[in-house]
Order: sequence, then structure tokens, then C-alpha cells
Amino acid sequence: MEDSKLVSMANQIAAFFSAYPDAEAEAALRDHIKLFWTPRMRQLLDVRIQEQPAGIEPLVVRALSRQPPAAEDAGPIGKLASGPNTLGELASDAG
Amino acid sequence: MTLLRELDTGTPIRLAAETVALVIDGQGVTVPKGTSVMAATAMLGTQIPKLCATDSLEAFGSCRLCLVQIEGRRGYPASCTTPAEDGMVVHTQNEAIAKRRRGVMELYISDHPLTCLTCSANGDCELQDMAGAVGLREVRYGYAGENHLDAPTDASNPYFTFEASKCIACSRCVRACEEIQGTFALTMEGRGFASKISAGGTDFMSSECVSCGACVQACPTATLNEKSVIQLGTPDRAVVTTCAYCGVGCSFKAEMKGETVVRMVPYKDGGANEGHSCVKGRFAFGYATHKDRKTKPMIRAAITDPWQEVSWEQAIAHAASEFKRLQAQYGRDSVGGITSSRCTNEETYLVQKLVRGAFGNNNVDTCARVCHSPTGYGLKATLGTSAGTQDFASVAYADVILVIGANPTDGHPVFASRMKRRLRQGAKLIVADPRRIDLVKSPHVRAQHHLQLLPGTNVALLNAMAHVIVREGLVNEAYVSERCETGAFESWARFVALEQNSPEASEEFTGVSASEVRAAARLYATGGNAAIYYGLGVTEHSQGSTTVMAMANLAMATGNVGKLGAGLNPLRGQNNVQGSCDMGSFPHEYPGYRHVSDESTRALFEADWDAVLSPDPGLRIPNMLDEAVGGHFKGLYIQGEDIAQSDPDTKHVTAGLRAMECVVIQDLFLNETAKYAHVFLPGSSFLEKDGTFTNAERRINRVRKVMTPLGGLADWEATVALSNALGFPMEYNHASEIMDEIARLTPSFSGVSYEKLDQVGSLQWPCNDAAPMGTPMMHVDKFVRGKGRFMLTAFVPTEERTGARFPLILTTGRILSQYNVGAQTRRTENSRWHEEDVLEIHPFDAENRGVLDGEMVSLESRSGDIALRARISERMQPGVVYTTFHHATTGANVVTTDQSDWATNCPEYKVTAVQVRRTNRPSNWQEQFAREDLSLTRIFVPAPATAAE
Repeated sequence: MEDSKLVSMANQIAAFFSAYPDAEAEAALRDHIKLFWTPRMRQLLDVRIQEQPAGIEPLVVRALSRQPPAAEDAGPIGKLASGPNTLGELASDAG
Repeated sequence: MTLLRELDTGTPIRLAAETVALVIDGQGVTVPKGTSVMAATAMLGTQIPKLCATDSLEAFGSCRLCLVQIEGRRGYPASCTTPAEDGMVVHTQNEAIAKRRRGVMELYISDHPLTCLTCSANGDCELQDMAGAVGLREVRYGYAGENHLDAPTDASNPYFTFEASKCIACSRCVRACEEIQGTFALTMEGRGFASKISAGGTDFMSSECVSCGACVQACPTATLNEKSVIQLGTPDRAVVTTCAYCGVGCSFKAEMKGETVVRMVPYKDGGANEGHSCVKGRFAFGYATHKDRKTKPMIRAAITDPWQEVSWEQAIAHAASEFKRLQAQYGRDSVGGITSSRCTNEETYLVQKLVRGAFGNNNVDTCARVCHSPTGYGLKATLGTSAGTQDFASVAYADVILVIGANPTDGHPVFASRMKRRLRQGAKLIVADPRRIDLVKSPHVRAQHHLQLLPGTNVALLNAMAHVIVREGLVNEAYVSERCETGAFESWARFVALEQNSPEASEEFTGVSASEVRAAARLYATGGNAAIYYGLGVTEHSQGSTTVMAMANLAMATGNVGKLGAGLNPLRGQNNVQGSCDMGSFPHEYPGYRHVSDESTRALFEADWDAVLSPDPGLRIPNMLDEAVGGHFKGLYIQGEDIAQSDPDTKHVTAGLRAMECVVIQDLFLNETAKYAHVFLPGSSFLEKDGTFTNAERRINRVRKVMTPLGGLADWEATVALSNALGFPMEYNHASEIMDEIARLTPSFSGVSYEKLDQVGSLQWPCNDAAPMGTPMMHVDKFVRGKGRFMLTAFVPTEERTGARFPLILTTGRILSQYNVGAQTRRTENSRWHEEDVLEIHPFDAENRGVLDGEMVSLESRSGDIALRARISERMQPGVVYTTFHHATTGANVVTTDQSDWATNCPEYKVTAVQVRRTNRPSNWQEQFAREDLSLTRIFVPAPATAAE
């Protein structure tokens, strides 16, 4: 997979989350990529950020360059990964 | 199961809390207020003779056959038009009534052909039945008088005939077209003896008739009759099953003679359709036995080789061997699978199980990737689960209906009929669509607001509506404070209140006047129960997921989730899109929308499947193709999908497929993708297997086998064989055992079983201990995620921009008679209505280019070009053109691009910058297609053995 494609995808994600305050946006972008990208895609993007960050949105670089805080608060999409045990009272209804 | 005749109460059963008690023929009965005497009598098990009445239609009172006597009342009132009342004493049979009924029947029969023995409806004719029921023994008037016996037959429709000589002018067909279908194509022309049914003064094929079959269903005689019945005779058994076309999921009786389907008749007890149908489900089932079906497994070493027919064992062993070789050579993640929204829940479940268990990765995806994946993301983020909130019946309680990015009269016609019924009752309609779709203005339906936005600007439009709602104090604050996250709401309210989101500011992007947006927003917020129905015009955008969230924001802000007549309702494209998603077809989720990284869920599946499962998300379809082009993805098992035709940027898709070393296609036909395949496994149609489909309202319906699989195996049996050959054992004796496993492992399906489905007909998930009979409406008291979450939905214009080179925007979609890639409908008479894909273009744009209606034009984008005929249409707005993707030879997706939704990679089919020019030749791609249509589909035919040998 071409890393330019991954950059484009990451920039699109950043465009959505940039409406949020910085800390929330960074957490959400980090969550999103971890939830939906394969390890290889994540690794390719990490390499690209390290070697050639030009053209990559600053939000992407910030979010993926920093280690997440140990107890990061759930961002805007924090519950997307949640299973029925952790969603809400009716979560077992919906899987 | 045999049930050719369903109970017909003559008039609709009313729903009313108040009841009335009366006595009919000496028996007491209590019925809801508003029930007719005829229906009340039917509830006692007595059928009053009738001809113009049937319980799918309102009472009409014209045939005078159903008359009764009521104590204390004069004369002989028609039981169909007389409401049951408290204390009423009714007599349905006595000599005086019988005499009058015979007199009525005499008149009917005096002008009706007496050819019962050779009539196609012999044995299935209400007129014949009623003649028997009333004891008609003679016709005193003779048959020599003026009559209609020589009236002509209209056989123009490919599926049914109209034999006017047999018509009794009961108007059931006219009323069915009006009340059930809502098309108003038929009328009663003339008066008195000259009365006759007319399809608007022309033949049926040329008329506005949409061939839904409602008139055929309603006709009490052979006047409107299926050609298949005329050809084959009346059926001898019926099996209730589910349509394999769109996401409405209509229930049908497959009426059979042996293993031959005579006709598909909509089932009155079907929860989704309640006895209605469309031209596809009702009539277009012939593809299932079409001569193009491939029923022998085949293999080949290279795609340029001819196919070799082999046994199932050889094909499965070859496929398994190849997948093992590829994983050994290129790594565990070099292969994957694609499940199908046209296959059953059980089949999609098994394919994802095979990928996760046998391949050992999560490289499984489904065609929902290219349609409703943003629905999953957007609704889960805001409400907590990936599902429509209502059942279809809820629309009957809507006061305001917002249809956005959907064309229900074409895409979901049976639901559209329900919607139009509510609109005729007075509900208000807002249509947000770049095209003037039929709903904007059709008989007795007119949108109060048509927000004719430019493609790609849904988010700007919805934010503008939200701006009005917030700035004008129209938020349902009590609802929001009780049910939603306060902080997120406040952030959202501040965001949408910004001037940049005002209708005036958005007008520049959307092209919709600010005053129209303001009026629509006020109507949505204050007009009563407000329901949103949406389709792929929402999801297939670079901001598809954002649009879904923006709609959820609107619905939550106005308190329109969790009550009848409201909600967020995705109209799913294919029959089992909902189910394929529910069954864990996405690369990041197990069945029941649980992420693969969730340790407790993964442990559950590992224990049940006796496998070690990967905690990392796998590749989505577009990622698979990218990785294939890059040389990292080598093998793909595709069940019932045709990505070479359906997915965007065809050249990229086929480049990816060509780069793979083992593509296994399981399908009814040698489809476009099969041109790039190495193993072909014969698929089985919905008529050849047991299973379930889940429709857009989360309704799980049974699919029942009515004939032996033509290829020998049901699709799920082929997957089992492949998995076993891969060394990941599966053992099921019947599809019901797969559902038992699904129920065991999926909380939302824990109460589902074939036994219960057979008992109750259908179940809407969640179906579990808390809701053993299912859940018609979700989020009633609380959202699934707990508190509803408002999301910030900034408008980000798509990167697909128009300019001097590509000044027009192409948007694609589908039409009523064809379905998706057309693999099914193109192999039926439906093609009579749509023989080729055409380019709809506004007269202004056509004139600018010197294009005349019907001329060939070149349609070119940054991805590629094709040639097709132009159709000049004022349904389009200037600057926007439209086509369908039903015909492989057209190649509409050669033109679409790889732009996709930011969250899900759902392709942006709805926005492609294009240019249109006159042309007189096919495009280079189309010429190559024509060549490869022969060279890549050859099947080796062994030379016949000679006598000497």
C-alpha cells in the first residue's frame, strides 16, 4: 500500500476531529487509527511520519508521535470499541 | 408448509382500544370499534360472500353480494361498509338474503365467459367460488345480450395479462393501485355498462404502472393473471420465504409445482411488507433458473486459461491448497475473504468465521463497506449501535418525514408505498436530494420542501438546519438534558450556532436558498413526530459518517429518537446488508458489533471455535486491493459479490484482482469478478437453501429452501467444506445449527432460533431474555450507549473538485426495475424497462454540448471514460449528471474515483467530477471489456470421444 494513500486517509480523519479541542482530537484520531487500521498500515504511517512528515496534517503527527497518557480519558469515539459489557445498560441488547 | 389461501376478512381489521360487542348469526363477538360487520363475521369464522371487498383495501360497497340483515334496520345493508356497533344483531344468511345474492351473481355471470375449465384461474377464482357459495344454478337472462365477451386482452406487460372480457368492474385493481401502491396508474373509465378498467388510456406497458403486482393480487378473477400461471397452471404448494432483493425484506409465498416456482405472492403476515410487493420480488425471480447459471465447480491456473470443470472435492482441495501455499509464502495476512449482503446470516457468519479461524487474521469485509458502513460508524458513535431505530410500520405515525439521499420509490418501493400512504393522510415531506426524485411530486404526494442541494454538501445542509434549531430555541431541552451527554451537547450547540453554519453561509456550498432551509428546519423541529429516512445519498460521500452523525444530532436535539413516528432509518440497499454487518463481516468486529480487540469477546469466540484469534483489525476491501496492487495481498475468497462491477474505480479494482494468485468466486453466475478468478464454486439462490435475512428494520426473516441446489450444495455447505479442507473444522447438519451458534455467541441474537421464527414469523433484534419477542423500536427510554452523544460535524468539502477540465458532477444510483449490478434483474424481463444504463443530463448542459436526447456521449473523469446514451431530463439540476451501474458493459464505475469516507472508506460514488462530450464510439475500456468478456470467460469443452476410442 502506498504511504501517500495512508497519509491522505489520516489527513481526512484529522479534518473531522480538528473540530474538537486539541487533546480530544489527538486522542480520537489515535483511537480511530488503532481501531480500524491494520498493524502494517499503522507501521507504514509511523515510518512516513518519522522520515517524511511533509504533507501530513500536524494533528496526525502530534497524535501519533506522542505516547498516550496512561489513563487517557475516552475521547469522542471512546465507546466505539466497547463491547456489551461496557457500553450502557441496554448495550447487551445491541451487541 | 402449505397455505395457498390466507384468511381474508374482507375489510381491514382496525386497531382501536375501544371495542364493540354484537351478535352475528346467534354468536356473540367483540371487535375493535370501526371494524366492519363483514370483518367481524370473518373473525367468527364465517365468510360472507363478496367480490369487491378484500381486507387489503378499504370497503367500497359496489358488488352488493355481501348484504346482510340487521335487526331494527331497514333493507339489506352491505356488510363491508357497515361498521359493527354495540348491541347489533346481524343475520348473514336467510332465504331473502340468499335470493338477492343469487340475483346479483346472475347479473355478473350473464356477462362473463363460461370457460372455467380452460381458464387460467380455474380453481383460484373468487367469482367461481362465489357462484358456488350463493348456489347459482341458472342465468335467466341468457348470454346473447350486449356484453363484453369480445373485449381485447392486453398482454403488453411481460409478467401478467389483462383479459378485459373477464373483468367484473369491481375496482379492486384500481383501488389496490391507489391505496396499496400509491401510483394511481389505473382508473375506471366510462360509466354504467361502458365502465372499464383503463391504464390511463394506453396499454399496461406504456402506462405509469410500475408492475408491483398489487392489482394482480387484488383481482378476484382471471382478468389480471400472472403469465407464469397461464403457462404452468395453478400451483400446488406454497412455502413462505423472504425476497432476495432490497433491504425491505418482503415475505413471499413461493407457490410451487414440484420444484418449479410458479409465482411469488406477497405474504400478508410478512411484517415488512404486509402483503405488498414490487416488480422485482413479485416477478423477477427467473434469474434463479436462468441458462447462465454455472452449476459445476471450475478451476484454472491463470485467468487467461479456459475454465476446467471439476468435482466439488477437487475445487475445494485446490482452493485450500492455494490459500495454504500463499500464507506459507507471503504470510498469514496475505489472504482474506468477502461476505455477501445477498447471502444469508448463516452464510456470512461462516465466511467471517473461516477468515478469522482458518486464515487466522481479520481480513474479512463485506459489500456494506461500499454502502452503509458510515451508518455503522455514525450511529454507533452517537446512539450506541449500528441499526435503524424504528420498524417500517412506525412511518404511519410520522407527522414530518425527511427523506435525504434516498429514492424510496425506486430503491425501496414497498416501503415507499407505506410512506406515500402516510403522506396522503397529511404528513409533511422534506426531500433533500440533488435530483427531483418522484417523491418530490407524484400523484397525491408533494414535498413541502425540496432541498435540491449540490452533491457532496449534505453536512453543510444539516448543520444549517441545526443552526436554525439551536438559534431559534427549537431544541427539546428536557429530552436533551435527560437523555444526552450535556457537555457534548453544549459543545455541539455552540458549534452549529456559529455563523459559518448558518443557512445563509451554507447557501454558497449547498445551492439551497437559506429561506427554504430555515423553513424546513422549523418544520422538522416543530411539526410533530419527525422521522428521517436516508440511503446511499448520505453514506457514499467523503463525509458519509459525518452526515449520519449530523442527522443523529438533529434527531436527538428535537427529541425524535425513541418514539413512534420518528427516528433515524437507514434504507438498506441489499436484502441482507443489516444482517451481514450484524454477523461480524467487518474486519474490526465480531458478530454483534464487538471489537476484535475486546479481550472478553475474543476469549468467548476462541473458546467456542477452539481457535486463537487475532486482536488486530484486518483489511477493508479497498485496503485489500491497495495491498494487492502493492504485492502484499495474494488470495481472496469472495462469496456472492461482484467487486469488479460494483466497486469504484474499476481499473484499480481489476488491477488488484489481477495481482492476486488465488481468487475464489462463489456465485450463481460467472460474474465480472470471476474473469479474474482461479476457482469458481457454484452459488445457490435464495430458493435453494435455508437461512435468514435481516432487513433494514432489524427484522430477522426465514429463508426457506423450495428446490434442490442446482450446483449440489447450499452456499453455507461450500464454506464448511472449504474450512474443513483448510484444517479448521466446521460441522453443521442444517442452517438452524449455525443460527444456534450465532445466538450462543451474540447477545443481541440470544433469543433467536428457527423454532421461534417458525412460530412467530419474524423477530427484530435485540431478541434476548429482556426482549424475548424482539424489539421493534430502539432507544425507547435510554440510548444503547447510555447517554446520546452529540458529535461535532464540521463541513469539509470533498477533495473531488470540479473545474475547467471536469465541470460537471456525476452522481450514480439505481432504478426501480434493476437491482445493484444487475446480475439478477438483467436475466429477467425487467430489462424491458431498462435495457441499458443512460446518462441523465439537464437540458441546459445538453444544449451547451450539442447533445441530443438518445445520442451517445463520452463520460470522462480523472479515473477513466465510458460511452453511453444521453437522456435529457429536467429531474437533474444544471451541473449534475446521473447514471446507473446495472450493466457491466457500460462500466459506470470506470468513471468513479477512489475518494472515500474519512471514517470507513465507503466510496464516494455520489460525487465525481466529469465532462460529457458527444461521441460515436465506445471507450477504450469498453472495447477491452468486450474482448475480455470472451477471452477471460472461456470454459474448456472436452472433445467428444470417437467411436474408435
